[in-house]
Amino acid sequence: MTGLYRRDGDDVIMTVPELATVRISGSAPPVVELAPGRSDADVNWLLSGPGWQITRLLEGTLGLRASAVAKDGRAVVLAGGGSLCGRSSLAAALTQRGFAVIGDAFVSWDPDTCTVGGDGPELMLWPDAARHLGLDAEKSQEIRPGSPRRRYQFPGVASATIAAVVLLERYSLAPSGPSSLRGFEAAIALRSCMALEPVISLLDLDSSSLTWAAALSSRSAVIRCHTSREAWHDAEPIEKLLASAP
Amino acid sequence: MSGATVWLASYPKSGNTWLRAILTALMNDGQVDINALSSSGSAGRGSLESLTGWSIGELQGAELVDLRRRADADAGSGPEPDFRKTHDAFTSASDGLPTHDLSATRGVVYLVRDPRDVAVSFAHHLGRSVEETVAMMQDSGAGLARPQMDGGPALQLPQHLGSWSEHVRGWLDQELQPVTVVRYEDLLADPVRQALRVVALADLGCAREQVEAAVSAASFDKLRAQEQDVGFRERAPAHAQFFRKGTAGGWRSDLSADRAAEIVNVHGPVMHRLGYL
Repeated sequence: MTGLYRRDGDDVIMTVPELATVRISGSAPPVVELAPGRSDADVNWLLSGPGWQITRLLEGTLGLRASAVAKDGRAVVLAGGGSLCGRSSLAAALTQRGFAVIGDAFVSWDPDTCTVGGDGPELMLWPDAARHLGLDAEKSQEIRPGSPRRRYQFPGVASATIAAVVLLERYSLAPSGPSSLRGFEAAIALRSCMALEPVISLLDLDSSSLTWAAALSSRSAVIRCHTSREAWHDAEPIEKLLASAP
Repeated sequence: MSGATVWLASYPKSGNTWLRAILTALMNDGQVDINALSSSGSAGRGSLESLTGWSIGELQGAELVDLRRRADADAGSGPEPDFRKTHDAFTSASDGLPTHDLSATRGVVYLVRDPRDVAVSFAHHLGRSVEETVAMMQDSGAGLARPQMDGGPALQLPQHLGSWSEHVRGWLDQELQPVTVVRYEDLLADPVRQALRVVALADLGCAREQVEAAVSAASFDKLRAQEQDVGFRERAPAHAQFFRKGTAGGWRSDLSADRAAEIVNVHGPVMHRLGYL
């Protein structure tokens, strides 16, 4: 058994070796057992990020591993299956083009209202991205002691109607222009970007998540973009991407 | 056999990528895309994030070591052979346990190359002088994938190399799994024979003709041509070309007598053990 998660009744127990074990229930605050030598400052990000996301899943709210921004009431979701594909960097770059931040890391979609919601107008950025955007590190917040990535505050909006989901796939060799996905291909691609995949399986939400992804793909443009996080340091790929979104 | 992982362990620039290309051709009807090699990497973020479901950017030190062990075990839990590349030294972590989990292992291949040739090739790879590289190969604290100078994240997890001699000894002297040693020079001289050894270890059940075809499809010249044509995503930024020469003994013309003597002086016992002296 190599997984980090297990169920105990209605609770999910997440064990991050050498860091903490966290019991998360749908209603009560999480219960944390720190590993030796760790402090609250080492796990705050774990509770406000993955821990909060697990709570949402326990409530039945599915989400994408994504950042989301909006302008003029229309949201663009920046999703991707893996790290370092530039979700947060692109979201930050888009704030300099008038977009407001809906959320980072976990973005939910409500099929009834067709709106995208997130966890607030903060983005977690590596130093190179922040420096490129001219952001003042003094005004950022530490995520965890010793972590180079920091949390930056941006103008925000609570939710917006979805216009497009952009699937960012890291491919450092040959970034390619945006391409549209449709039908089954779009649904499967969105399913592969869902947040907390191991917990989805643990909570028996696999079939629900596929239905959710299929519904989202039918009501939103889905655009695939092979890229690298450094690509968003240039204006041209951003303009191309925005031109491809409806 | 206790698992599906076939470890492809080596110090950098010792033929690991070439062997992975041969295995890729073998498992893909003779087709090799150097940017889609059929193997997993123990230093990739992806295998760890498939366990967490979230970005591991905030995890540190021992947390990553333990998670990597779990990813090792997870990678070998399926029925199909999982060729798992690693440049990490086999050593003990701060908790006293091995840095790699070999419990789900089908076999361990350790690729090794004359350190004098490694020094020349590794210097090109790193974009450093041969002198600096020779010094790095003696450094017990040496590693790969350190954070980038501009504050950006390293694409791979930190990898501990140790010195060249420590790297060899660590893998060959661990007692958890038997090791099949493949010398780069032997791979160059008779690639079919060496590939057949790996095929047998992995229990792939391939005929000799298939192996011969795979070796032909993944010849060094073809890999180099493909890199020149489309590029290679694993090429280090400082490296003009990953598939550069693919020869043995080039150190005789590319390495000064002083540096060659320094390598022999430091790594002599291990070089002798491997037949390089």
